[in-house]
Amino acid sequence: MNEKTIAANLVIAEHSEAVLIGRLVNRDMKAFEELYEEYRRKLSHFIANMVNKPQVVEEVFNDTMMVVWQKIGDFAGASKLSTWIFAIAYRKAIRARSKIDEPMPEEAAVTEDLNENDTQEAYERGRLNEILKKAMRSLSYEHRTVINLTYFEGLHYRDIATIMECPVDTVKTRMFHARRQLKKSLGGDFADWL
Amino acid sequence: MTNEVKKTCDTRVETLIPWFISGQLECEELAMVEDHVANCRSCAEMVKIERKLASAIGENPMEVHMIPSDWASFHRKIRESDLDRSVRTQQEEINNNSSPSSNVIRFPLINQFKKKIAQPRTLGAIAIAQAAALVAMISIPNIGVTPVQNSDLGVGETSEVDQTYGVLSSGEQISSSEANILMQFKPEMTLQEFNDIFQNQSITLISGPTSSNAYLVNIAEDDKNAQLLALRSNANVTLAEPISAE
Repeated sequence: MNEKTIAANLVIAEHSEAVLIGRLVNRDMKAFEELYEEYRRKLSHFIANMVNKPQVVEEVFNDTMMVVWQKIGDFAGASKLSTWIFAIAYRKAIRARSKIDEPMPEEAAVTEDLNENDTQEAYERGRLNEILKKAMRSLSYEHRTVINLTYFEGLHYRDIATIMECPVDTVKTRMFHARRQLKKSLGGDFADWL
Repeated sequence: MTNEVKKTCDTRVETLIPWFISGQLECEELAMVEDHVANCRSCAEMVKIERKLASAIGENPMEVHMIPSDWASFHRKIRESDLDRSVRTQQEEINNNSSPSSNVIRFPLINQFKKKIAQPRTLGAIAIAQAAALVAMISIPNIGVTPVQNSDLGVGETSEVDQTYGVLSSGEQISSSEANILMQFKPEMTLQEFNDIFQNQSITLISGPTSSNAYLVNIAEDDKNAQLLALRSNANVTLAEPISAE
């Protein structure tokens, strides 16, 4: 993809977002329903990495979308719409976390969900994935958030800084430590990733 | 490897690798990392490892609870929220307009009336009071124009109230929980002054204004005489009379 195509795609994306925002500001309920469904999938993962109770995850999601509906008129476009929505969800999730005393549950036994009838390769892959999930759970929610927003949502560190309301350098530092912690948690199994 | 390059490996490039891998770097930073990785074996190796890790994380999200779709319920909530905000906005506008210099306008008083009837202590009387007010409004087509005749009332003299509000003096029984006082105010009365009267817990606005700018009010029976006295001494009150004959 050449630079012109990238630039053109960017313009199209920005125009599409502007059109969507316009529809939302004009109280287009159909547009908001589409947004609701889109972010139901996106935010399920994001919020669940910070809050471990399904009911609270749903509450945080609904609270987030309510704020989006009520405040869309105030959205000045300083960031992307997705960044703005994620930032709202992040703040709501943090507040919800402060009301929950229980820590994230420990990962179940590594081989519990693995099917011994799978091929050796599939079994190994499944085992390593379970180890990775356990390693992710060992991270603080802030480190986990940076990892997820980077690798799962594909966001730039500037967008992540906006979402997490911290300096850009803090995002980079958290990512640095998160990667180091992951490699440490994966331990000897890490060589299997190579 | 020079010290300067080694320092770069330890800091700038390494911290940018995740966003290099996810394709988020632009222009200057992208060029810097690409150039360095092409010339630094250890960083190139690190990129290779990180790509595998990033790929594994991206393909294998932690188990999450997928939020169930309940658009219908959420749609209802935002409708209710919009209604609440609309009422609050209207109330704020009334409060913002209630300065001593503001003119009395009938519409804000109607809105104030709507707020008052929403209060729990008036709800019990509303259905009947509204019906009574509606009957009164329908039955008083020409208030102040056609005084009620003595013969209609069966009294020696026609009181000021009777002259103007004959139907209301017809002897119809109204319960104590409904309007029992008829009031009128000076045209120049402000909203704040109007509000001050109804801040009194014993006085409840039931309905109004009628076509003649009268208000139906309830005063608690045990405090009625004292309240009537106080109302009549208020410079803004031009009329405060019991509705039913006592």
